[in-house]
Order: sequence, then C-alpha cells, then structure tokens
Amino acid sequence: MKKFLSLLLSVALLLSVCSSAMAASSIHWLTPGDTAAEVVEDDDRIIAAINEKFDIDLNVEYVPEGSTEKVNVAMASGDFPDIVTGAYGTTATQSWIENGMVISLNQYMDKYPNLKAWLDTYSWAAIDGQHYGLPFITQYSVANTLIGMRGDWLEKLGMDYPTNLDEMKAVLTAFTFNDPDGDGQQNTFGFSGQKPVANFDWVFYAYGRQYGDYELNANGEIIPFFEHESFIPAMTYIKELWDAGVIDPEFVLNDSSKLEEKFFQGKIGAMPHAMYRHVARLENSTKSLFPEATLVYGLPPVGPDGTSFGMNKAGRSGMMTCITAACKDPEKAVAFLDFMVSAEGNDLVRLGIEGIHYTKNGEEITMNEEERSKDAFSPSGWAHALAWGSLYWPLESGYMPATDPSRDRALESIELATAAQKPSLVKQKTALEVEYSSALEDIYNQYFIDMLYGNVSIEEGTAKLCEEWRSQGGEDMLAELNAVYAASK
Amino acid sequence: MKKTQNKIRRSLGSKIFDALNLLFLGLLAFSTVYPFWDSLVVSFSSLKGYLSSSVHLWPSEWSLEGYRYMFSNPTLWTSYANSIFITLVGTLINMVLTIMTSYVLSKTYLRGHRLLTFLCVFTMMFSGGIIPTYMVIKDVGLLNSVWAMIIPTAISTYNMIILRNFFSGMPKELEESATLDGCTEIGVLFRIVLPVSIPAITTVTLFYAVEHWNDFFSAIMYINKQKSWPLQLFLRSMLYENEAAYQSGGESLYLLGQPMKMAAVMMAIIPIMCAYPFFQKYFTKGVMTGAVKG
Amino acid sequence: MSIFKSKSSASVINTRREPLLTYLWKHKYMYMMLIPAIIYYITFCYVPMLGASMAFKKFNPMVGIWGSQWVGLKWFNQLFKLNKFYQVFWNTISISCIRLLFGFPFPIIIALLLNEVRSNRTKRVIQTAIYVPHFISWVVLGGLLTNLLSADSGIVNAIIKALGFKPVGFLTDSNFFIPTMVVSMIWKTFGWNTIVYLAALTSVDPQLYEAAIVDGANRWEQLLHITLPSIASTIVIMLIMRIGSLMQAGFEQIFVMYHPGVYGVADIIDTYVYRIGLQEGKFELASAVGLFKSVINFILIVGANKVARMFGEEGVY
Repeated sequence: MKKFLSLLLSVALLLSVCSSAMAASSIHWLTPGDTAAEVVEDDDRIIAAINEKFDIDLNVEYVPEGSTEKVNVAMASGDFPDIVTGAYGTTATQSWIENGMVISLNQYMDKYPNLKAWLDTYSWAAIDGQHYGLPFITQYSVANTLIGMRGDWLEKLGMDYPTNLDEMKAVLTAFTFNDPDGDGQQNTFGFSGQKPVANFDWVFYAYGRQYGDYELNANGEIIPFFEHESFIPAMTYIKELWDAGVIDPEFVLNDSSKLEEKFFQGKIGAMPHAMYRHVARLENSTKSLFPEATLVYGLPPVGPDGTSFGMNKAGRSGMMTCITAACKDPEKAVAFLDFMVSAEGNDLVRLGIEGIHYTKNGEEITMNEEERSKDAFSPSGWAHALAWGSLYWPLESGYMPATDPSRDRALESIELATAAQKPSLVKQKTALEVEYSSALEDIYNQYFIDMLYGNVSIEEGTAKLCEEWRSQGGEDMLAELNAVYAASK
Repeated sequence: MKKTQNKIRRSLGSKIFDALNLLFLGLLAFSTVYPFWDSLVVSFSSLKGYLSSSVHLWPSEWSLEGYRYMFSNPTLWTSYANSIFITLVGTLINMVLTIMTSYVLSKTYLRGHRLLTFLCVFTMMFSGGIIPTYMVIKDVGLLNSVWAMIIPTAISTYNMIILRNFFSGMPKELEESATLDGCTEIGVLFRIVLPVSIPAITTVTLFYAVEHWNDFFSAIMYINKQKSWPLQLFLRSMLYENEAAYQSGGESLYLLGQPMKMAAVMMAIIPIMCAYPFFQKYFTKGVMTGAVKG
Repeated sequence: MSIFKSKSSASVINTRREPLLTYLWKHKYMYMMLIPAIIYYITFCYVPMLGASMAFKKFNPMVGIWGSQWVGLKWFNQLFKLNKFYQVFWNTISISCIRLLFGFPFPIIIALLLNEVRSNRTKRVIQTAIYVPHFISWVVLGGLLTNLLSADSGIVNAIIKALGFKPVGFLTDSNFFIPTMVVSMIWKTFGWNTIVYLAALTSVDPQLYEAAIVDGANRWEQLLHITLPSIASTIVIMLIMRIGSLMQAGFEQIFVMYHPGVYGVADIIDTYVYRIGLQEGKFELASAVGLFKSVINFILIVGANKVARMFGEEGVY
C-alpha cells in the first residue's frame, strides 16, 4: 500500500513540477462566464492581443453550465487558479476572504485607475477597508422586468394597458372571463408567474412599499417588508385576484419555459417577464400560433394613492472576481483585470480589433462578421466570449449592437423597467444574511402560498410569519442589518 | 427453452390468465412508451406544431430545425466520440474488476470474505463527499481528462454485490466436478462460471454501460475543457441556460424552443437504446440448459 | 495490505487451524485478484471518506481538511436547531417507506408476469418498452407530467371530467402530491428494476418445471414452489440494499416538481438542505447532513442484513 501511495504522490509531484515549469506569467482564470458564448480556440486573436499586451499566457477556463458550485468546489479543494470568479455574497466567497485564499487589491488601486474607478463604485463592498475582489452586482442600477400583455387581446376587449390597480384587476378579469381569444370557451387566465411564488412585487410597491430589500419602520429601523403597513392591503388585493380565478391556478408549477409556453399558447394574457432582448423573441413566438398577436408592456400600475408604483429591486447579488493567494504574478493579473474594466478593454472584447473585426468611419462602426466568426465572437454584432458573465452583462452595460432590428423596443423596455426599480437600504450582503436568508425566504414563500390558498387568514398568517421569521434567525439578522445601516448614514 | 407446457392441454383458467396478463403488460408498456413517443414527436415538430397541442401523437407540422441546430455544432461529434470511448473502455474496466472481485468474494470458504464484503458495502453508505473526492481526483492527476469519468467509478459496489449473488447461487456440483478434473480456481472462473453466468454478466454490463452513458455530473465536476466533454454534458449545456445570462442578456439570444430541447434529448437516448436488442438476446436464453448440454 | 491481514486473522479463530501464510499461499491467485479492487476502494472510497471529518470542523481550504480547526458538533447543532428539520426528516422517511412498500414488490411482480408470457417476441417488445422511462431525465418527465396532469388542460383530468368527477390537482393539491410522486417514481423505475429479476429467472432449471408438471402442479403452484424460491436470494439482496438507501427519497424528482404549496408534505432532507444553502457552498453543513444520513442508512442495512441471516439467507455480507 505504501508503494502505491508513494506512486500517487510522485505522480502528483510530477504534475505540479510540470505546471510550474511553464511560462512564468501564465494567468489561469476560472469563471462561470457566459454559458452561451462561443468556444475560445487556441488561435483566438483577441486572447493573443491580450497576451501580447501584458506579456502573459492567458488561459480562461469556463466551468460547465455556468455553475458557481463547481468554482466553489475547485477552490475548496485547493485547486487554485490565478484569477477566480465566484458568486458575490455567498458562504463560498466569504470563506475565500476569511481564509486568506484571495488577496487584497488595495495596494494596486493607485497604479491602476480603471480598477480604482470600479472599486470606488462598489466602495461599500470593502471589508474593513480592504477590497478582495471586483464585485459585479447584476441589475445594480438597471432593470428589465415588466408585465408583458397580449396587445391584441386588449384591443379586442377595447381596453388600454392598465395604469392603476383597479384597471389592472379589470383587465385581468376580462382576460379571464370575456373570451379574449374569441374561441367561445372560457380557457384563458389573466395572469401567471413562476414558481415558487410568482412575481407580485408590483402589488406591494403600488401599496406603498419603498425599498428593494427591506423596509423602515416609524423609528427608522430596518424591518422585513411584510411587517410594513403596505403588506396586508397588498396581500388582500392579490388574494382577491386569486379568489376571482384570474390567476393561473397552476402557476406554482411553472418554470421559465413553462410560463413562456403558456403565454405563447394563448392560455394567459399577462406575465411578469424580463423584456430587453426577449421582447422580439416573445412576440414572434406568440405570433407562431396567433399571427395577429402583439406584446405590450408599460410601467407597472400605480396604487390607491395614485403615485406609488414599482416592479424591480436594485440588485444585491452578482459575481466577484478575485486574485488568489496562489497567483505567482499578481501584478500582471491586476493589470489584466484593470484592462478588462477599461474602455479600451471593453472595445476589444465587444467590437474586436479595429481593421480586422470592424472598421470605423467617424462614429459609424461596420462589423466584419466573417473575420469575427474566426474568433470567439457571437454572430450579428454580439460580443467575444470574454465579454460577459464575470464583470459585465449586456443589460448592465447598455450594450445593444446598432444593427439589432429590435434595438429600440429593447432599450425602451429597459428605461421603463429601470423607472420602476427600487433602491436598497443596505447595499452589501451582511454575514448573517448570507447565513440565514435562504432559510428565511423559504419561510416567507410558504406563508405566502398558505395565505394565497386560504389555508390561513392574511392577518393571522402575517402575524405567524413575522414571529417564525424572527425566531429562525431573522431577529439576529435585523440587528446586524440595522447596525450596518446606521453606520452607512 | 423447450415449451413443455404446450404438451399438456392448457386449462381455461390458464388461458384467461394469459389474456389478462398480456392486456395488463401491454397497457403498462403503452404508458411507459408514451413519454418517449411524445418527446420524439416534439423533436420533429416546428414550434407552432408543438405549441398547438398539449398531447403529441404525430407532428402536426414537421420540422428538422432542432436536429439541424444540433448537427451544425462541431463539438457534437467530439462529444459523441468521448461518450463512446468512456462507455466502452469504462465498462470494460468495470467488468474486469467487478468479475474478479465478486468471484473471489462469492467463495464463502475463503477466509475474510465476509469482512472484505462488508468493507465494500460500507462504502455504499459512507462517502467523503464532493470536496475530498475532488482532492483525490486532482492528486492522481485525472482533472480535465476523460479518465476522470472512468477510473473513479471503476467498481460499483451495488453491481458487484448483484454479480456476487449470482456467482454464489451457482450449483456447487458444477465447480466441484471441474475441480476434480484438475481445474484451478481461476480455471473454474473462465471455463465454468463465466459461460454459465451470461445473463448476470449481461445485466451488470448493461447497468455499467448505461451509467457511463448517462453520467454528466462527474463531467461538470472534473472536466472544464469542452474538448473532453461527454455527449450528455454537451447536450445539457445547450438545454439549460444560466439564469444570470437569461436575465441580463448574455449571448443566448433565445431560450431554445421545446422542439430543439427534445431533439437534444433524443440524440442522447436513442444511441444507448439501440444497444438494447444486443443485450436482450442474452436475457432470454435458458442458460442452465445450455450449461448442462455443453 | 494491513487491513486485509487483520480481518483474515479475525476469522481465523472460527476456522480450522492452518498457518495463515500457508493458507494465503494456497489461495494466492484468489487473493491476488482482489488487489485492483483493494487499491480502488482505498484510493477512491476510503481516502476521501477521511474527509468526512469536515462535518466536525471549520473548514479552511488553505490548510486542508486535516489542518482545519475542530468545532465539535456545531454543524449538527445548526442542523437540528432548524424548525423544519424534523418535518423534512419525517417526510423523507415516510416517502421512502411508501416507495419501498409499493415500489419494491412491483418490479418483482412484473418480472414474474413477464416470465409467464409465452411468446418470446412479445416478451421482448414489452421489456424494451418498460425500460424506456429509465433513460428520460426527471427534468423532461417533469415537464411532461405537468402537461398530462394539469387540472384544466391535462388529458388525465379530461378523462376524470368525462367520467363525471371533479378534476384533481395531482401536482398542486398537497393530498395528492405524494401519491403522484410515488406512482410516477415507480412507473419510471420498475421496468429497469425488473432486469435483475429477469436475469435471476433465467437460471431456474427448466427440468424442475417439467418434473412439477408431471406431478400435476398448476401454474400458481409452480410459481410458488419453484420460481419464487429460486429468486428468493436475489430478492433478499435487493431488499437489503434498498433498505440501506432509505434516506434517499428521490431528490431529483421532487426538486423538479415540488413548490411551496406542498413543502409541508414533500420537502425532504435533500431538497431542504439544498435550498438553505448548499448551492452557495456550505460544505461543512453538507458533510454533516451526509454523515447523518449515512449513519441512519448504515444502521438500517446492518439491521436488515442481520435479520436476513437469522432467517438463513446469506445476506449482503
């Protein structure tokens, strides 16, 4: 047995010798990236350009299925890359910082202005003043979800896109009972959503909910949103819709494909959905069965006070790109990341190399799709495999190729959705939030469904929810959040 | 198998039983084939054809779009090759190791056999979990190699126990007579035990082959390089969009339509299902008859 | 090699005295055939198993599992403190037991029925058909079942409505959810599970049947006195191994199909622990849960094996 183990050891040793014998400034980046991006070949000219610029040997490894779990496992097993991208605000990335697996970037900030600018935007993410990575919060200050409706149904019923809760109720009721598809059967529902609890945020915000994450009580302290005065009336409104039978009774079974499918099949008339690049796809897919179908969207309805509305929450989670303690040449790694968040770097991975992948005539840019397809660029003006997933997504970057036929509607939908976005009280994820929030969310989901189904009255359910939520860690979490909130003011 | 029963006149009860039995099994078989058929039909439908009904018995509008999309990706062929390699080589290694182990452990006269078996069974209950396993696989240098899908699953205790059970159920006289003829224990394995155990060996081979073919989890865990991906992971990567990319508009311009997803599903399961008839031949043979005659 | 020596010396006490080395030498080829398996089990099972000690540590990847600090039962306390833990534990056990009760005998019955089919061709067609669902993942089947069982548009409820009954929320109603899960689970796996029994049935000596027919035994009597006893040991082995996985209540299936409306009955240890944060990398907690389940499975399998041996069966080990 000893012999065998020593054999194993020598194999391992041999491998480690091999890897360290390679070029001194090899940079290995492990990231979930963008699952749908093109495969990067060995002779990719964008990678080559970066290599040349920084005298490095860049090796980007994308984990299958964009699975951050895989990144966590690799890191926890001591399989350190030089640069690693994981999920921000999770147990995993927190442990990287606690255990010294990733290095502080503060010492490099002065020398690298783009890095500094990035970290300044996320200054609250520093821990005791130290930045351990480049956070990238998705939908931080931009959003894309709106309630999409069948425009042709509205037209047929002689109604407009609803602007307040009463109109919304009227529209959803008409979608259900007034035979909007004209087949003489009552086989449609007004509204549907996705598991676990659909998206009824527009109701809570219409009744006066203020923030994306928590609410404030009269004393200015943080409380969960279901302890806010807006919760019970909003819940009552949702329950009225449910009892009237205008909500798809099987919405709890919908995943994103199933929800879309019901919309395409004309089974539902309205759904909350990400718009942006999906606008054209949703409309065209609906047209495959109903050629006259259109997709309309607008600002979410206002509440009884005539002014409150909202739909989206400011993002609080996303990715974090760090340099590991195992990195042999952190200076080079920092220089590379600085480039990735610079305007020059963005141009390189989105447009390509001027003269090869695109030509510029004044402000007008002409893409050379043939050249782009030789490297890891996606077709029709979209970006290189390095572009998205770790530090940017198209939505947050406001990126949309000029040639895209549905560009205007996509950008319009972002504008509306962002107008309906609500800020957070606390920007960072606190330690206890990481610890408890998934279990607490679970408690909320179950009470929400129980109240909706009528297993428990709204008043009683809310009271029990508050009690259980607080006793299962919520109390401690609130104390911590209030401390952080007070400090930030 | 000789149909001895036919010589005797079948009673009425027996006939009724046969009819009901066939009816029952037929209905069951119908219910189990339905999802496969539904998916197959969807894979050949256009999006419109798919959406127009919730039950799919025949494509209402044909389309090969899904298959065309899959076939247009060159990585498909590499992943097919990887999967075939993993399944063939992996199963071969599985079988050699499993036969050796279960044959030895089936010998109840051998000292320590019970404790050794217990130590194998123990690993079915207790495992180290993902991290320690990953560490071992990293240390033996299997990361990013197709061998990571072969070596760490070289023996399945479950299959080993099944085979051992078959071996130990074999009539002792067969082996004893061979031993008297001067066969060693190894000789008995090759000349007597293996030929007589063909159905059991086929069963276990099938179990292993299907496990290898369907395995995607170890690929997610141990293989980042797309060139080494097995088919299942490649197809999954086409099926499941990452939520972040979906919400914030990564390069996935659209969620794949259901027909394309089903085309991917069909491409994953049809090859392994085609291997069935080959295996099935060995199930129905009356083996003991063969053994006695030979 | 040390492991293996110690056990043979343990069993030496019961067997006839013969010097150990002489004994080993006599059977050297047999023991040598175990060497690859021993290497395999040590490297890929027992070495990683040491890592399960993570369940008692504050894991720090920088110093490895060994170097990490002991924290005693911290993770277990955290687990047992959760309100829902007892509920999901109970759900796991009850779903598993229902599955065992109905799901275990079903493939045996089907294998026996298949064995009675006279035409080999029909038999093969049916066999192939019932294996099929084994190859279709729960993600795909889940979508399909949602369609088939939908209360307003599903075909099953269309039939129920046509017969004059009220539609049933198979997947939405918490009273129906578990039966639906169990039935669909059995339906997906029974065909595949018949394989082992069919293989066992081929080894029944046809001469026994011939003799029985001469004695005037009918088909039922043949089944009772010849077929069943011949596959009894296989049934026992399969049963023990099933009992040893009682804490696995079918994560993938439930994960695909459940929702907050049925958490009360359908949430099992695996789904719950997944939701409360395994996906974000609480490895120590995962280890603790794994260990907890292992210990229960271990007790069950040891017990089941003991019972089987008391009844004169060989058992799994």
